[in-house]
Amino acid sequence: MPMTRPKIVRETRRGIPETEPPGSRKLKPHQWFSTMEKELFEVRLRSSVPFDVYISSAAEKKVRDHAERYAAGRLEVLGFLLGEVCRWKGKMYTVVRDAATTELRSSPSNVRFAPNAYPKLFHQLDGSGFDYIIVGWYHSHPGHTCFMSRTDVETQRASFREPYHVALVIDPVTREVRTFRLTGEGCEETSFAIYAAEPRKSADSPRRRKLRLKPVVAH
Amino acid sequence: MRKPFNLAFCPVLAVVFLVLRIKVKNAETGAAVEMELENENTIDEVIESAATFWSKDMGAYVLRKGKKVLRGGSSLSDAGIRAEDVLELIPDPEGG
Repeated sequence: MPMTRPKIVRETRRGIPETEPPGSRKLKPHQWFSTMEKELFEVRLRSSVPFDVYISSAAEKKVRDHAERYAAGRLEVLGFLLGEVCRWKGKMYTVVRDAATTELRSSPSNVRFAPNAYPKLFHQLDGSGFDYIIVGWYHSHPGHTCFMSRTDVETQRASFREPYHVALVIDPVTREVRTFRLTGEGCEETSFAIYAAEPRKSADSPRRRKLRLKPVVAH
Repeated sequence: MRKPFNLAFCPVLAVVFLVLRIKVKNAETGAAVEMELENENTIDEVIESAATFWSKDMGAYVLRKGKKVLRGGSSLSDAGIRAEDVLELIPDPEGG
């Protein structure tokens, strides 16, 4: 009997919870923001329009420390942003709770995960302690400022096409950081805030999360 | 017209033809698919099926089972995949 191709019989999608974003008292601008960026941050904060992305102070520190560790050698770094997607008053936003990475194959102008370093990355994903979504990725441009190169846009198109997917670019030499998302033409900059994370609630356990899954029959 | 017989609903035939069902999670969205396949299907076929279903470029992903990366043309049986296993499709990004 000839071997058949794998057959997909059912898809399950995760619902997007209606959750209020972190309150303004918990929010702060990134410490590397310029005076103008801080002013824009304050305007956004007063407008009560949610930011596009909320990054926990712990995740932000991990990313910054990682980029700074390799800055002396002008080597790029790379990792995943782990979190969740929420909705509030009709607007979708992204919460980055943690970051994960592993050993890299890196140069001043290119970076990937080292081919044999995935087990360490998977260990970090499993150790995140919540039912994560890889809501985006981060990488550094040491000394080149923050923008989306052609390679970066290709990565965004290939793997991070959802409207909530974030590309965080950090330059530890010029001390800049920006977030981007995919648009029809390329990538556009998005707004983000740093929030002070609360202790993890029991409702975040993977078992509780499973209850939110909506079954969808595959076509 | 007769409906094709689904082996997964007949345990005896399912054992004969070694049909197994696994779950593949999409790490970037939290979605998951249940997939029916045979022991001789390859890891590449699993990645290709899931990537095609989610309209993704299969070359931009790796598949994992626990801490182990599953690669290439090895069969499910060689890779130690069993019924009810949960695999996860993980992006393999490149920054420049």
